[in-house]
Amino acid sequence: MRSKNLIKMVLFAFAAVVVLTGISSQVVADEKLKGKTVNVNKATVQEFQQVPLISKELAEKIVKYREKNGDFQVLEELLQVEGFSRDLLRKIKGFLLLEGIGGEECTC
Amino acid sequence: MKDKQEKRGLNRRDFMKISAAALTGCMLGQTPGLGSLVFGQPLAPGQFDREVVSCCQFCQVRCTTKVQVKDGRAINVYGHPDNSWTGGGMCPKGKSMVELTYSPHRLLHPMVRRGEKWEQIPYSEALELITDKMNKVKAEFPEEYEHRVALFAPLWESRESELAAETTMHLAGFSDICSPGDGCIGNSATTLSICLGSAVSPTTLDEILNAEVAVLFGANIAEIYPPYVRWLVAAREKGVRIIYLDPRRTPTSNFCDVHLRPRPGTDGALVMGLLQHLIANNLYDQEYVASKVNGFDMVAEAVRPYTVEKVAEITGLTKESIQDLAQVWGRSKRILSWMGASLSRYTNSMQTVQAIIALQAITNNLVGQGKGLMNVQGGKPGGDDEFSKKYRVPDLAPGLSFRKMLANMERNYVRVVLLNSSFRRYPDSDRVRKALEGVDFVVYRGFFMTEEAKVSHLIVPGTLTFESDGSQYGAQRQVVWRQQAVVAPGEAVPDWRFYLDLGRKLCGETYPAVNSAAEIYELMRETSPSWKGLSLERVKASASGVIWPCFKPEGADGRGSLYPEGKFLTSSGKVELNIKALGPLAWSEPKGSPFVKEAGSEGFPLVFSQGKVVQHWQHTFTEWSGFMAQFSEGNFVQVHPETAARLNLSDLDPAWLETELGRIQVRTKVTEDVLPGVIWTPSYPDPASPFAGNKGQSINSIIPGYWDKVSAQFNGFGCRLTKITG
Repeated sequence: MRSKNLIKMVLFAFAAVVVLTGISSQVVADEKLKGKTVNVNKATVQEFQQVPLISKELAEKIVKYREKNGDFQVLEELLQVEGFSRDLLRKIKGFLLLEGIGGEECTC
Repeated sequence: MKDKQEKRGLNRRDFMKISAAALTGCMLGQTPGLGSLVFGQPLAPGQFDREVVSCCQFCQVRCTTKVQVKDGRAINVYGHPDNSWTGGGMCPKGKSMVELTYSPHRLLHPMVRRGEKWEQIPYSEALELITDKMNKVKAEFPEEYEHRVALFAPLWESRESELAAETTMHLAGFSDICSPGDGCIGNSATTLSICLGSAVSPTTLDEILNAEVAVLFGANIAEIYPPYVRWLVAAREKGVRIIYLDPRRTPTSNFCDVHLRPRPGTDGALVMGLLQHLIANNLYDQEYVASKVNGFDMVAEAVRPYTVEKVAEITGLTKESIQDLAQVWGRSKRILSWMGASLSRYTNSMQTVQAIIALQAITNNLVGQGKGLMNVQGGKPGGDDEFSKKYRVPDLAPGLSFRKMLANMERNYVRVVLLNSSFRRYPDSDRVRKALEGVDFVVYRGFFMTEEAKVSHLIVPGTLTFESDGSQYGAQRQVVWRQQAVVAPGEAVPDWRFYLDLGRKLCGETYPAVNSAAEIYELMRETSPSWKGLSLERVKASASGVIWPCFKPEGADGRGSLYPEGKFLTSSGKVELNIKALGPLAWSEPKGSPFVKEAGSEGFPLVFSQGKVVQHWQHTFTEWSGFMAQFSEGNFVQVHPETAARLNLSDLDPAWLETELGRIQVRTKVTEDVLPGVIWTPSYPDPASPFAGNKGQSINSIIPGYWDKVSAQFNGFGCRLTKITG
């Protein structure tokens, strides 16, 4: 019985940590960006670092990819950047803005 | 204007130039005033069994033709006499198709690579092999396979081939179809789309006869679209003044009233100067601007620094000629501007096209009789969005652009490539070849043992023009129909057949129930209101084609302005001069220009430029014609006498043409056709061609990979020329 309670307590504590971490991450993110979004086609490495969960290393990879390959057309294209996962995109999508030029299909 | 064109005869000392000029003249058919040279003329009755209506597969003039067949073999082709755009003319590229069709170099059967050797396999086995490879990609990466198969789209075979390929990819769950736009005119098409609401040419060529002035912005019509020369001639006969802007003296120089030669890549600065002059002197239509144009204030502010003095310094033109040119827009009531594809070959192209649109807009020259804007190669009809939405798996990710596909190939992410066009169309083309070499399975759809065939694992031969039917579109947004004239050799199949067969194997019954090019055409037409009037029956009956958009089965087609009511297809219905993602209108030197002082640029002081010649179109086609090789000269470079003297180069000297990427060997041609400090070289030489004249090193292998937001740059960067001694 005791061990069951112990397990329950551990699980509860674990869940609380997960929830609180999520909340605190959200709070930190809101605090960092203050309701603003980052345009993925213009942001600098420093600006990308304002987005929660984007490290300096990942920010550099995003900017390098964009400079080499042109504007992102949809946010899902960020998945083409090495180290950018679907899970990460789902978590930070709300902080990202997409304004850029997409190439029209050739008319020749 | 001081820069008035010099009149030239054809008594050129250089045999090749005579040949090229003769070729240009030959294709003009029966145009009054230019003589009627015998070229592409019909055979007399009795010399052939039957005639079939066809059209040329090369450039976007899309000459309709008649193919004469004897004993089941195409023996002659000539321009359709009832085609109002060509007047029955055609150029030698189309004529070469008779030779190419029966070339001993044709690929006739599917072949699979076994080590260093090729093994012939049946078409059905080739399809099985591709299906198996594509299904394995899905099985191996069930969560994210959509960008792991890439298609380099079929070019020019037929509209149905494009549609069948798109449907196959999108129904099978693969997103990436690389259209030629990334290496072509995607940036000017995009700018037109943002500013006016449609990517295609805003007007048609017949309006030139109603204009006061026609301005050719780098549009070398006589060389690139030779059958259209008759329109320049007819316009001049009607009193239309033709102004040609091109750094190079070309055959088109012979058909204009004024030829101005700005430095390559400076058209945008020139047009900003014209805008500045017009706005500063109130020489624009304020009423039109107030009611039809958004973004005028931004333009007025942006062009303010572009004084005549500054623009003269940038472009190399005289102040007087710039002022005179501005006065053309200030005084003339009907101006038609024709933008050449060369405008799209610089990293500042979008801003240049944006400025030209602004110029036409603020002077009320966008819509109306004798007014408008044309984009060379700008004829692909729109209206297929509904089709594209209907025939794709739900929630399919948007396709990636070429550069992103290339990056994915380089990291071994892409596992299968369906290669329908040449990797040599891109700058730094050796990088593209290397990336392809790293892909697990490359399928080549082509006609000859090209460089593309050599990097592939499986070859499935395609058909040439006379061997299949289908619709095609041209620069006037016209849709034409081509009938099959002869039976395809071996197991060569048209692209629409190949992709339809592949689609069936991959998707089963979910693939649309169509079995011919005509059925694919109708499948697309029935989804699009703007295609309703383009019935197959009507298209087949017209030698000139029926012009998109065409909403009604009867009555007028889309000839003339795309915006006949003066309402543009932007969300506001007005011209939108603000392009948010680009910021305010601005001009900058092309990337890598020797006029930009950057580390490493000092070693490449000459401006590089390149282009097509009359006897060649794209890679993999005309380079395989011995007929065309007679008029070709391999790699050469045009150099101005002053530059040549400085470099100790004489006519015919061998030299190295070098860029930051590498070098190719060329032969020097000293000529005033190019400006001092600028070189020009033809784009056709192909290392795989079996013919000496066509054979050469690919110039795209030394063109650095500079890009704007949409397209690649092919001109305007720095290079050097060094005499080869010993």
